Parts: sequence; C-alpha cells; structure tokens
Amino acid sequence: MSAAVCTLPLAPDRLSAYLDGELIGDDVSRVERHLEDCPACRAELAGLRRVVRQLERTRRAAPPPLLAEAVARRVALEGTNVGLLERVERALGRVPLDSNLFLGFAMVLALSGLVLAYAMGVQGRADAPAGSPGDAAAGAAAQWVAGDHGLQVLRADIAGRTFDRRGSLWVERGAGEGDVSRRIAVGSAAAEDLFAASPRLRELTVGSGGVVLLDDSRQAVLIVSADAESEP
Amino acid sequence: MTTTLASDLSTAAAAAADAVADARAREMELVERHRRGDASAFDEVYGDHEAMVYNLALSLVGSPERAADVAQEIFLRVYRHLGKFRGRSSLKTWIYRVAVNQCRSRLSRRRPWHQPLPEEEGPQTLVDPRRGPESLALADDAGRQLRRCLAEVPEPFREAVVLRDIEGLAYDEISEVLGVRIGTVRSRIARGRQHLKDRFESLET
Repeated sequence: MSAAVCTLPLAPDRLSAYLDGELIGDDVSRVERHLEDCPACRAELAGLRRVVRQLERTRRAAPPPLLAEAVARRVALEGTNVGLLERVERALGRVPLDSNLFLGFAMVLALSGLVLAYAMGVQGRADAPAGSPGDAAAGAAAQWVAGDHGLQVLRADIAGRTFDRRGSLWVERGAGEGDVSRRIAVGSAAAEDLFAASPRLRELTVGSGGVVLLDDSRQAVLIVSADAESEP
Repeated sequence: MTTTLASDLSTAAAAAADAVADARAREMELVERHRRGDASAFDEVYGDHEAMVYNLALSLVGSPERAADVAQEIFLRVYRHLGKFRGRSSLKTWIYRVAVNQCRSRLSRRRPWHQPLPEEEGPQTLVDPRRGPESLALADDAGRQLRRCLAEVPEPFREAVVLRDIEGLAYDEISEVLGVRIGTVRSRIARGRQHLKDRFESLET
C-alpha cells in the first residue's frame, strides 16, 4: 500500500458514498479527478473496497432448525388467548349488548366467578398450616405437603396442572428431566410475555426458585430467578 | 438505436414499477389476512423473512445462541403488530426496523437473570442438541474472524455497515430502518467501514 500522504484528503464519508454509487452530479467527477492524482486516497478507496467485499462474501447462516418451532410455540400462546377472546367477542357480537339477556348472562357469570374464587380461597386457607411462607402470595391453590426429602414441599394446582416444589424448582408432574428446551428468567421480557399469555404461571414464581412445566406442545419451559439456587 | 434504448429502459422501468406494486399488493393482502385471523398469513411472512431476520440478528448480537433468542422475540413482535402495518414502507423495511430495535434492546438490556451454565450441562437454547456447537457457528474461520471484528465496531456504525454491506439495503432504505437522515447513514457507514479496515490491517501486521 502506498505510503503517500494526501494533503487534502477526501472526507471518509464521501469516499465511502462514492464506493456505493451514492454520490450525485458534480460530486462524482470531483472525487474522480482527485483520485486520479492522489495515490493515498486511491489506496484508501482500495482498502474500503476490500472491507466491503469481505462483508458481502459473508456466508449466510442457516437459521437453526428449532427456531421455526419455537416461534410457532410462542405465537400459539399468543394465539390461544387472542383466539379465545375473538371467539367470545364474535359470540357476544350476535347478542345485542344492551339486551336484558346479555346483561343477565354477564351478571350470572360474574357472580359464579366470585363464588368460585371465594370457595377456592376458603379451601386453601383450611389446608395450609399456619405460618407457611409464600402462602398468601401463592393463593388458595397452593398446599403444603410433606415431601420425600423430609422437606416441606409446596404443591400448587394451577389450571388443572399439578406442580411440586423440589429445592429451588417447581416441577410439573409428568415432566421429564431432559425436557428443558429453553430458559426464561423471572423479570425478563420473555417471562413477562409468557405471564401475559398465561397469567397463572406467575403464581408459581413467588419468591426465589423457578418452575419447569409442560406447555401444550410438550416442551418444557424453565423459569428461574436471578438468585435461584442451582438445580438439585 | 437511441430510440430503442430509451424504449427498452422505459419498458424495464415500468416492469420494475409493476413488480414493486405487485409486491406491495401481496404484502397488504397478507396483512389483511392476518387481521382476519388467518394463521397461514403469518406463516408466509415468517417463511419469507426467517433467514433475513436470523442473519441480521447474528451480525448485530454476535452469537448464534443470542441470535436465535432475539429472532424469536423479533417474530413475536412482528406477529403482534403485523395487523397495524399500513404499507408506508415495504414489509421488509418494517421488519428490519423491528429487528434492529429488538437487537438494540437486547444488547442494552441488563440481564441479571442470565445464569451462565457450562456447555456440558446440556442444551439451553434452540440449538438442535444433535448438532455440535461448531456446526452452528460460521463454517469458516475467516467468517468467524469477521464477525468478531464486527462485534468490536460501535453499535450505530455496525448497524449501518451490516444493513448496507451484508444485507444490501440502499441508503434510503437504511435511513428508513434506522430512522435517521441519509447524511447520517452515509457517515455511519463510512465510520463503520473505517473501524473494520483499521482492524483488518492490525490483524495483518
């Protein structure tokens, strides 16, 4: 490469833009006239051209085969809620919103939900021994059950699925040890996405520790907190 | 002769304009289908842009593992917001914008939750566990060296260089993706290339 020094070098962005064909009109001819007489700037241009060629030759990497599947899973989680809401909205759309029938139905539904929530709360408080940590936050669905290891194990029943606490982890009954395909940490945006899609999952992340659970596609999702102990 | 050339150029220009119009019409049709709840519309969008998004993420965030994670998040955001796409830019430009923003967010986000585990503890990401880590990195040493050099370029310049020299976008497209003036695009590309040139030269000596 020439060791010549240019006394009036072209501005780097002009040279770069010239390389890209992004200069227009008189600017192009000015740059070309300068380059004719300036070995230093010609060397600089050659150097930039080598960089661009290196980058252009970058081999396109194939996306990992599991990426499509993972996106489909997360989209399906979104879609489950969206689809359900849309179906409800469409069904309600056939019923005039100001009809007495609709109002009556809505009131019955709301009352039923309140009664159910109260009943679950009463049951949970009856089962839980006094002073069990995490109880209030975990809600009525959680139970303290003496575990195999002689430790207190928290069992949580969420939406018909049962989770047992082992050490710092929650493990769903039936989950295989090797089913971890992804880790999402409590507090991360990905965990928030998951909780938005399945709000009751948040109940399992009370305090430290995490949860291993199977979603509908039988893939396990492990959620751990920043200060969780390592897996047993 | 001149008339024929002018006519040919005019025909080519018209054909190009028609192609662009057709592409935009297809994009808006996909968006409309997505709004109506047609799941296959997003599948098509995904299929058309999977490699683009993954490779952009790989260039910006540096590792295949992080690129796969970020690519998931990018497509999730595309899925959520596709219904709001108005066609003011091309769909590709819009997705690039989502992707760049998500990569920036990923790079700037503190991740106190990250629990680094030794590789031996098993797959932690979307990597196919039957493959070794080597097969997921770039296939040649020069490519890996290049990505390492790219990772050293300051983020605003790296984005511009990647969009121009790897993704092949024009300056006006890059301006739309990054939300900056074309003069800024020019400057960032130049500075990014200069960083790489200096780095390559230092490796050669």
